[in-house]
Amino acid sequence: MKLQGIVAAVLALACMAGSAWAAGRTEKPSDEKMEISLIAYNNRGVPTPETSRVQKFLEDRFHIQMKPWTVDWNEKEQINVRIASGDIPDVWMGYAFPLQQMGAIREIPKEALYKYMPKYMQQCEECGGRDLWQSTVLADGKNWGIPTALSIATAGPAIVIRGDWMAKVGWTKPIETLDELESLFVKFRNEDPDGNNAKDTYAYTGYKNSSAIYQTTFAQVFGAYGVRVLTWEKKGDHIEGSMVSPAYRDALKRLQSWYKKELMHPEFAVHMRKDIDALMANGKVGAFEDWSNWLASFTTTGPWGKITAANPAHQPAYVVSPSGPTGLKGNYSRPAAPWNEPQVMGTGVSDKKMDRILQIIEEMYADPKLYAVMLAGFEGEEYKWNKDGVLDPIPLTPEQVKKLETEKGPLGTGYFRVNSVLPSIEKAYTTPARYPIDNWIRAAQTRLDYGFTPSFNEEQRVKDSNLTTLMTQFYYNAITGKIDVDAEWNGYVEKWMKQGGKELLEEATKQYLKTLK
Amino acid sequence: MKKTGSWRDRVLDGILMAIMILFTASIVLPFWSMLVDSFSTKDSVLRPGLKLFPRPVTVQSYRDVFASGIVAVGYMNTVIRAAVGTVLTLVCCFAAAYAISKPKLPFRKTVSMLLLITMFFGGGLIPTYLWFKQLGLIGSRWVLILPHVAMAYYIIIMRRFLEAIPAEMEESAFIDGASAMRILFRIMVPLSMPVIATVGLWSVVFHWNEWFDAMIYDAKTEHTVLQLLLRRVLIENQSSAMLNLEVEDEARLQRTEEAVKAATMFVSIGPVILIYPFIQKYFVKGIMVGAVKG
Amino acid sequence: MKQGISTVKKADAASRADGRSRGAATWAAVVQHRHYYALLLPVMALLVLIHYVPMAGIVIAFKQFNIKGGLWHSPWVGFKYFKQMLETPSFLAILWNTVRISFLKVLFGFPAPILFALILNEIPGLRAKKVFQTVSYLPHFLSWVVVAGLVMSMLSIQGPVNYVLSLLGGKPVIFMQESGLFTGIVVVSDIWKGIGWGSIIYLAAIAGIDVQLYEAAAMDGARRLQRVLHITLPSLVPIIGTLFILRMGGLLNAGFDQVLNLYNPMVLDKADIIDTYVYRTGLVQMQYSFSAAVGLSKNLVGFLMVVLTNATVNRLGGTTLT
Repeated sequence: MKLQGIVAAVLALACMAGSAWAAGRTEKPSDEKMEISLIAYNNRGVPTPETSRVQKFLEDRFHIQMKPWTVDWNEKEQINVRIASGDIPDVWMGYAFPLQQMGAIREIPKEALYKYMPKYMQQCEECGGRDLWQSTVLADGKNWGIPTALSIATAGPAIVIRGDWMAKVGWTKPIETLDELESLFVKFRNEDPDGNNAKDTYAYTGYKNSSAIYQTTFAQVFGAYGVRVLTWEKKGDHIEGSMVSPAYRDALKRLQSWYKKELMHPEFAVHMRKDIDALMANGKVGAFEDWSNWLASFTTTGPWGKITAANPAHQPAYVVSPSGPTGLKGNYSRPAAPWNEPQVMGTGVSDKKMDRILQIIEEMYADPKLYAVMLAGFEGEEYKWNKDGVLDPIPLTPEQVKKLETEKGPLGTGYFRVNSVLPSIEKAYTTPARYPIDNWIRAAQTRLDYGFTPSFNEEQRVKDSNLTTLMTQFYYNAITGKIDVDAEWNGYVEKWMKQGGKELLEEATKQYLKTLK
Repeated sequence: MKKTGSWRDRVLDGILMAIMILFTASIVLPFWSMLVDSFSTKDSVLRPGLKLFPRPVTVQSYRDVFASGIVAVGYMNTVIRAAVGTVLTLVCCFAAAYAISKPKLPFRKTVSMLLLITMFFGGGLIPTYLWFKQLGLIGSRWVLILPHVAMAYYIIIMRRFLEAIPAEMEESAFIDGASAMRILFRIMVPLSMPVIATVGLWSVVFHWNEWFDAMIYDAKTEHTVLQLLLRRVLIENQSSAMLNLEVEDEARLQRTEEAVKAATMFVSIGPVILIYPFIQKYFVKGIMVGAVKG
Repeated sequence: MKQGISTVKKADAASRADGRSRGAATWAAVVQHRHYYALLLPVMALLVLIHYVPMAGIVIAFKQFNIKGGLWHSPWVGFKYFKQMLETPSFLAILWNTVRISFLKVLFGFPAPILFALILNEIPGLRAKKVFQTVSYLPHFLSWVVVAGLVMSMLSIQGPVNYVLSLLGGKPVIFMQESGLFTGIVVVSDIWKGIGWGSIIYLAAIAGIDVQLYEAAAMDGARRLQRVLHITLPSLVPIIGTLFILRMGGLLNAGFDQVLNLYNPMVLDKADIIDTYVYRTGLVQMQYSFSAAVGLSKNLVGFLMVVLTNATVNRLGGTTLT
């Protein structure tokens, strides 16, 4: 016993000496922790705490001192006012154009990006292509932010169709053409698929979203005509506007015929997003188009979850890129999201700090496990990895979350988060329900070349906004049959051109040709 | 005042009652529906048609609202700003209204104009923020109170009411040698209870509902006001786990759970409805105090 | 008081010969009213401190705001942003929508709470009165998100209005998609939401009416309607006048929150107001100069309307605001 005690004591002393020696070795006087202020991004609806466990983890990992703003990023006005008053963080997400105009951000040269974030940029280029720089390069040709790319959205939207309704009307074959889709919709409307002896079912619907009509609702239909709405299309040696192209007109006419045949809910332009859930749950619509994350939720926890649970034979069917009357097909995908803000850095950031931040983000995006900590917390506590290596969140009730918080301290997530989802970390970002759908869509879809996005100056941006209004009105009036598309088409194109479309096309062509060199 | 009612009067009474009942019903129905929603589950809330009773009944939505535990802090902060703000506002505005209700006050027109101008012109968000920052008001409770004390709208209305009070009321006291202050408090205030109650109500409700100024000027966690907290609850409770930022704002924010939305509404509106009956007496049947004495 | 008046008058007469005694008379009046100035002091101090100092920052509408320059040293661009607003292709339509909606809201929405207060006052039974009044203001507390949802479900294809229509043999109408109906929907829903809350000030005014006036009138044989017209209504006139003048100041505020929640792309031609246009096109994303320009324009128009209305009401014999 006594011997053991002595050995133990000696070992302990040796360990302590060793660690002291080791500690002495690493703590060089020049080894200061770099201070970085930032705004964190998460969807928890609570302000970022002053310190948190994830923050501590990241500080240790990167050997930095983080100073997060204790704000909730949803409260943008607050953030913007502070920035405008001169209180600028080192790195955060914001729109490059107004920020640069205000003099809030610093330039991030492309050389630095490629030097310190090689893997990130490589993946971005694969996903985003030439569209990559659209939200960061401004009219002066300089780059003002870290570009973003969404590999996950290279899986565009898809149409999901109720499985039990398909069974009821006796549809068994897969849908590959637009005409087939229409036939199915006709059946949904007329053959009483919910069996209640009332003609109260519609095949399809949308919702009002005046600022983003190019996203979903009818992306597959437009794709079947080879069109992606609201795009500056590359046509060899010049740019054309998709919203004034003949193919767009034809697609609108097709949709109008659908509306007249009552395939679409007559109030599709009026519905709010939340009405869709009610419509689906109450058996009023049989199909809907949306991004894969929503699709996954519809059929698991959402309005159609019970259907699949009740009868596994009634799996929902997904349709993507059906081919149109001329054999064209395509799906909208937006690998670089123009409305989301890129990562920008404040004017006060030194080159050295900028390089370090770029390095941090590069590391974050190379390692899914690290990314998962930043995004969601700690393995075993907030999530686990499923058999495909996909992040599976552990559902915690608000009370459980509170309990964890009081016991261990606030969690805190979203530090240094960039609005990119790249192949290297995709599995940490998606969910088990969404992952197979994404893969399926990616395999089955035909991606439309996503066109070109020019960098407009202030006057041009204003014109662009106004044109969108013009386009939106025509779009909805055409589909609901308020106007005769053929009769009004030329007038619409003329108006579009006159109100600035022509000028914007010329500018876009100019910039496009420069990139070809 | 009950006279032997003529049949005409009774018919009129009936019509008026009918109108009121219809109007009241148009309000009670949707509110009841929302109350039911707040006690419903996330699935049953989507069922169509007018719901008379929650099936099944659950308090989960209210639990979600209160889960973070800081709702109590939110209530307290809101009560503080409403109470202090309203008292200060009433005192300052009523005093000012009394002053400018005096026709012989020199520069009265100028003062009124100065007040009126503030109702329409202001520096805007950035100048105001920069100035408050200079004053050191950012992050202080006072920034939620002081900007709403000198309210031209309230002063103008109070002045109107004061002008309607016959001059004899004051003159007797004036002749007796009472000072302006004394007249103000002993005579004018009791005679003005209806308008004071009205403006007080406006002020309390304003402070109760206001969250934008709290978000911009005083975002300290200890000072968070109720409405701001509830807004955050709504964001937190969006349907389907949304770590995703790739979906743009409009669609994302619209998918908050209906049941939680309804619950937050009642959490927010509840206290105001509870207090209201105590001040209602000033609007529904008030009596002019006494007559001119002496 | 009488003495005071004659002092001033005498001084006035004298001052035609000597300008200085007019000043002295004014100073005398100021001193005489010093207690009232003391009452005015807190408000005036706050006005300067809180409202007037930042007002100078209105120059931001004329500058290209950047952080380094701040409010004072940012480059001057004059009327650039005002021009930008005016050069919007649909500017006239947007302006007209704003004015039309606002005007109709005043035409129908201004008298509504007055009428409501009068009716409520005539309801027999104190308890009924109290209940009706308490319920009436509840919608004021609902956000427009909620109320718009209610309106839309009322007017939807499967909603009660269309149901009644079908019973009467008509075809279902998608009300929310008809541009022509939008203004009406906005005005009516605004009235529903605000009538109870808006009537409170009038109830307060009615509460101040001497009960004896009614009794005297009743004894003189005045009927119900006559009592309302000759006692209740006249006592409301001063406050109605004031509120009307102030209401006209909001001419270019057609109700941003409400319209934003109620409108949809189908009715843009009649529904787009200044604020929704500016919001939707994202032109105010951190564009503080532009939003300041828009705001200043709206406020200027509002202020002019108030001055104009004030002068008109004054000429018609009503009281003036200043």
